[in-house]
Amino acid sequence: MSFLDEIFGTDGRKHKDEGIWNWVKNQRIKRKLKKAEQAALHTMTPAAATTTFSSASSATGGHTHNHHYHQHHHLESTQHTRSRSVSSAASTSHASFYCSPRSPTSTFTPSTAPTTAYSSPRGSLYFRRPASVNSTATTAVGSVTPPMDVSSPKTHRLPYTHSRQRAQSTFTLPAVAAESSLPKRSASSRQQRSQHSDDYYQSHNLHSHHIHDYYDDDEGHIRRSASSRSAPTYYYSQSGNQCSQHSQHSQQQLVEDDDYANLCDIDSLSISGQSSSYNSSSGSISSSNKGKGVQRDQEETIDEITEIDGCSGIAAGSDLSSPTSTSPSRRRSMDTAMDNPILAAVNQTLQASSRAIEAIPGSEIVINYIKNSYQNDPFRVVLELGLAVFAVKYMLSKKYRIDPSHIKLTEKEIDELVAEWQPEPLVQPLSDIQRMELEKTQVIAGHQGPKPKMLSSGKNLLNLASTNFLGYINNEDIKEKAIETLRNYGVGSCGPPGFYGTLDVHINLEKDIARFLGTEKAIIYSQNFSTISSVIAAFSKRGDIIVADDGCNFAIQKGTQISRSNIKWFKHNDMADLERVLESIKKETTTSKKRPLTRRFIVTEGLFQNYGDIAPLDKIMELKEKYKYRVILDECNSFGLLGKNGRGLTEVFNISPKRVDMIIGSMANALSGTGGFCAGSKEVVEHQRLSGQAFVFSAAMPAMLAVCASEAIKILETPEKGNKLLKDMSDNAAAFRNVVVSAPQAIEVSSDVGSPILHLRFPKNALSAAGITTRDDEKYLLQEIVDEVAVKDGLLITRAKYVESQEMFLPRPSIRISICATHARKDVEKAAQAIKASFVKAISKRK
Amino acid sequence: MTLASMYKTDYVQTCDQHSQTNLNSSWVNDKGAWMTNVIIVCLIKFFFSIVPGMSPELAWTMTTLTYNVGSYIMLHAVTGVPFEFTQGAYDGITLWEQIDGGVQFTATRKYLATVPIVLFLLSTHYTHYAPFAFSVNLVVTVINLIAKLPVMHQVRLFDINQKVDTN
Repeated sequence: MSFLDEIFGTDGRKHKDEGIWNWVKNQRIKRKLKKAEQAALHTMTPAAATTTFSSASSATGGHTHNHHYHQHHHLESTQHTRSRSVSSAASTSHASFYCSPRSPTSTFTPSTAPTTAYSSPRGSLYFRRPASVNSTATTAVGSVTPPMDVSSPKTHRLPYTHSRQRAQSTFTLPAVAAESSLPKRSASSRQQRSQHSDDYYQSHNLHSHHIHDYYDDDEGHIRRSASSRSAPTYYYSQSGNQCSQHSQHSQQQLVEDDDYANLCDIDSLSISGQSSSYNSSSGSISSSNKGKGVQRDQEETIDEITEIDGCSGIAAGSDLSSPTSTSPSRRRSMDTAMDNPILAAVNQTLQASSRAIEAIPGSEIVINYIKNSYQNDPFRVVLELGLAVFAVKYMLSKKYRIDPSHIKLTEKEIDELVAEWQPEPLVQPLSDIQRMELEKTQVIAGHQGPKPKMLSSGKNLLNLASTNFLGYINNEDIKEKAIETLRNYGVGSCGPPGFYGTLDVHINLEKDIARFLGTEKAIIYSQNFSTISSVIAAFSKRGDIIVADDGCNFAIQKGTQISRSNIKWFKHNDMADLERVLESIKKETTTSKKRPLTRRFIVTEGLFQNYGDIAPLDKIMELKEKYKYRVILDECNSFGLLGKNGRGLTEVFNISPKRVDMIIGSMANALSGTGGFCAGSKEVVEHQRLSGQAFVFSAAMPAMLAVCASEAIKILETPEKGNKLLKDMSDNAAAFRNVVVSAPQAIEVSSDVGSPILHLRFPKNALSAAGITTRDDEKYLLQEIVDEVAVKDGLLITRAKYVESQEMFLPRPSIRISICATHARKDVEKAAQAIKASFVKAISKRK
Repeated sequence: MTLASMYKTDYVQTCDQHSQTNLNSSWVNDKGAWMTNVIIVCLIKFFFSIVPGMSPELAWTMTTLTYNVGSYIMLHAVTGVPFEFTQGAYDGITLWEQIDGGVQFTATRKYLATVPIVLFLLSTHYTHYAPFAFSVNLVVTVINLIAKLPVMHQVRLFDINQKVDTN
């Protein structure tokens, strides 16, 4: 554990002084001491030299905090003068010299008493150096240098030199305070300093009352009362008294008094004023001190002492009156300090603010923490301050949204929007075209069928609008079965398929579909529109890729939208374009190093609802195998209608339905039931039981309609009936188509041969020739045709309707014809002729 | 064109992600979670102190290390949500980026950025600012704080957690 102790500083004290800053300082100290040793060898008396060396070396060897400071700051201050370096060694040893009041003369004898009454655990920063004399003013020779006492690291020897010695000594005041930034003084130090001044008064009988009690401790040293912290005291005053007794020298007396006065008046001096004078005087120290004498030095000393004393920025209450004897120099400095009102104001402010800070409860903890945390490592402190500043800045930051699409409106804009806002009516007034549609929509009276009766006119029109392709609506067998089921099962299914809504008829229907198509399993949905949307969203998620035909119907578009996948569109039935898109996707995804494994789908319709043409499934299967995609085939309009047996596109192209991953079909279009289904492998179908949204969250279809669909499939499966129906239907479709395509100048047919859905549009050039430019105009024109054939020819046809604002690729307006198998051929042909004539008339009329 | 029509935003997209509260990230706003954070730090320190032979300084350093690494993994390394409800809207997004729907400098984010700083200051104080411990604490805390800066929102360095590109 010792290694860990080392690096983690288990002994806090041991590592208290470590840090970059301290290390640097220590290096310099070591270097300076070495130099001093060399120098001291030449200048010191042998006796003193040895002691000096011992003390100096022990000082360096020791870990005493203050000694480091001593020497360091000594050396720092002596840096600028060569002469000082000579005395630096001497001054180091001076550092520990202290005065025992009992025998002032013992000042010149080395004392080895371990403790002094004047210990200051706060460190050398509290030293009260007496007025020192500039080294260059006196010679270093002859000064006795008592050694330092290094026996106890705890006690700090306050330096004191006798006044006589002061005049002669080579003492230099260490610029302790100036070098280091002192921590804030607490209130106690201020109290002490007021004590100091009181001492002065006391000693000089300027006060009448005692402020503190004095008592002798064991060692006979005069101690302060416990009320005073163990901070340095102005012991000069006591010892000075005794010392002064011995010095009869008037000059020195004057000096002493002056010194004391100067010392005591430190508290009342303004810091910044003194600091400025200090700076100026320190600059002049090196330059001119030969002939200046004591006065100058004292001024400098005062300044230096003030620096020690007042760096924290707290000056004691200046309730002192000026001492009686004031040296002109000191008075001068005092005057400059007080004269400058700005500095005085700053001083007052600092005092007041520090007092205010200390008044805050808990500030002691913070101040202690700050003191402890400094640890003589300013770099680290700067780092931590940076961290604290960062924290504060982070806390004070206002919150904002990163999303770029979020628009922040200015006040003005908000006001504008509010002023602009008009409440919308609950029911919007109809536009012209909406009104037209509402008026012209035919209403069937009675039941749906091939020739329904109209409410408005009472006539029976031939139904070419409803998707009754195989004529199951009027199929008697299915009707009987439906009625029977209704009596057995009731009307509704009372719940979603997953929650008590599934009946046996549903399961039967699923089995029938799977069997009819040739897939493994099938799942049925209750609504045709939501089937394809649910299937796409159940398998393709965010991050997956869907390649879809841009002629897909609205339900497929919504399905791809809610799946949140990446959608790429290819041109309608354009296999080259499909290949291009697949190739581009392959290139994109293989270039990135970390290719996420995404599901890829090709979505297309068997028979397009908006165009009536058939998708080339064989080519699509080819591409699917090549690029490894899954195919979702929407056979809503081709299941039960295309192929020999009505099995849809897979039968047309002779592709195994198991190769198509998901076949979606509709029972509502061809089978006269309701809803849709998804047929595929077992996994595909079972996955939708939980993740097909329309399966989970919609009610199951009514039993009657499920039975109808099952019956319809059974009819389709029986060859004679089913095949006949399919053949009839395709023959009718072919006949209709043949008539209609014979007028290409008026009619554009976008359907394939054999498709039961036909879309009839005006050719573009004919429209522009007729002057019809907008979509609404085209719609009006088509509506004219619809109305006309309804009235004139007894045909019920309709325009194809779209949600125009939400379609991605809005198809052109058209008339959609749905051929019914049970219509007579002649009727169909007649209808086709009528429609053609109407188209021609409509387009030529406008010319 | 009216001002309102000029400022029409994608309604559907907004509806999708914020239709339900993101349960994966909404719990960090609870005051109970804040308290638990502090309690967890205390527990970590407690358990490290119990280990025989571990000095308090080492325990503090290990606490800082554990907390910062653990919270980094939880907030900035793990992406996505453990349950599916918005079609993968939060697939490539870490918990930090999910908090409050991406709004920066909310109360929770400020709190979660303060805790490592306070822990760092305490830890360096109690390890007496020994250089090794200090550097360890500093590095770990700074990495954790950099990850919480708003400039690093959805920024991926060194291809870690590289997001799937979605349109």
